[in-house]
Amino acid sequence: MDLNYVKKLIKLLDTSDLAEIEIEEEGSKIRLSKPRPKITQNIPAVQLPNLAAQGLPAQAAPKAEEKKEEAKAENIIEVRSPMVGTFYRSPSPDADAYVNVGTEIKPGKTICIIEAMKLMNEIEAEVAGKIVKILVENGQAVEFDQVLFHVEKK
Amino acid sequence: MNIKTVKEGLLQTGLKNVVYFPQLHSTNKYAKENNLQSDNLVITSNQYEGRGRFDRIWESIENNNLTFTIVKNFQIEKKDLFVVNFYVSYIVMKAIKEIFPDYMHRYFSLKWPNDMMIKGKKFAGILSEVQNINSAEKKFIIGVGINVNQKEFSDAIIHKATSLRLETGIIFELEDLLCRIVKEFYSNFNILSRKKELLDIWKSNSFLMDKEVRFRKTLDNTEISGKVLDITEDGGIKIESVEEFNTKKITVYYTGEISFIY
Repeated sequence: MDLNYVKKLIKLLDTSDLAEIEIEEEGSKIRLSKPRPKITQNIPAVQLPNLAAQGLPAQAAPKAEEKKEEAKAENIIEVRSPMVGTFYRSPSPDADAYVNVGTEIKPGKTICIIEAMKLMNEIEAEVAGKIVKILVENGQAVEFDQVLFHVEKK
Repeated sequence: MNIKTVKEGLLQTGLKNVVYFPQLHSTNKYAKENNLQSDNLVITSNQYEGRGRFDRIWESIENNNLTFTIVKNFQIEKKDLFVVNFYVSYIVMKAIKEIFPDYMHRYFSLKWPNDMMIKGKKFAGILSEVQNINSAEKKFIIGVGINVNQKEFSDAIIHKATSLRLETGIIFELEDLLCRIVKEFYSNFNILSRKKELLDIWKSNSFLMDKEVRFRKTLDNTEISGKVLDITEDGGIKIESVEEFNTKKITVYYTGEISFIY
């Protein structure tokens, strides 16, 4: 049996949910197994009503703190991506960028394009103000709700 | 191009106005710069700044091809915006196929996400842009380019680009072809609100379904082959690939994540 083959099997077992692999071919036989994962989060049933009574899940608290950190100054507004896609700063490669740092914007002005499924979505400003930071590179993939610009509100 | 014939043929469809230019930088650009309203059509015999997706320049010889833009406002949810490209590619294909006898329909195919193919080569494409995406009613600027009567293509693209004439030997009347497409665009418009049905029709017009394809992943540039299983509700392509140890893996890819290898 080839050592590389065994190595691959070990990798496969490691990355899978399987507990055991056994292969028999041409007279040789190999059996690999891994220890069952210990169950560490065994919450007794009696605690459940208590958790429910607390209302909010425990994870909610740190998330709220992260949000606070992101919103820097009071007059800075974050412009977020309305969808998953690719961020473009200009209508075509040889054209000027819609906005740069320092550009004054007002509601309705196109500030960038998010391309998704080969559809160019023109993203418009919803507030009046000045672009103070561009957080994404031209051509970069963006997630839903990712911050694209910081705008200083007028 | 005889614009009078076009107008006569089109103004019964739902279209309000047709603007024609013997030459124009780009019909999409004109529509946006002049803030054309819904149900306007811009067409030119010579689009000299024609473009595909961003940096892909589209080669077109004057008076040979159809290059036009339809402006259309309608209500659609943000998550369903992508169906517009599926709709338009299906409509263009439908209008063209109807010109040909049934036995020739197998030459035509839609390629994910929005290319139109004849005998495995691309002959038409779409560039759609959308505005007012936060309003219930969005404004779409739908640019369509179809290689119709063009006979020559540069060496750089001849292996993957073609025209209707080159593959069928027929010289088309551009006015007639345009009218057929716009009529189909308006008369089938309500399918746009029936996503599942539209995706099913699109799939039945695509040669990709259940076929083995080779493609390259953008992320790590690896080449993979696999079988196309489906187009998902959000426009992705579901592919089953064979990995190590003959294990099968099903992955959904979106545009930009993969490119097909010809």
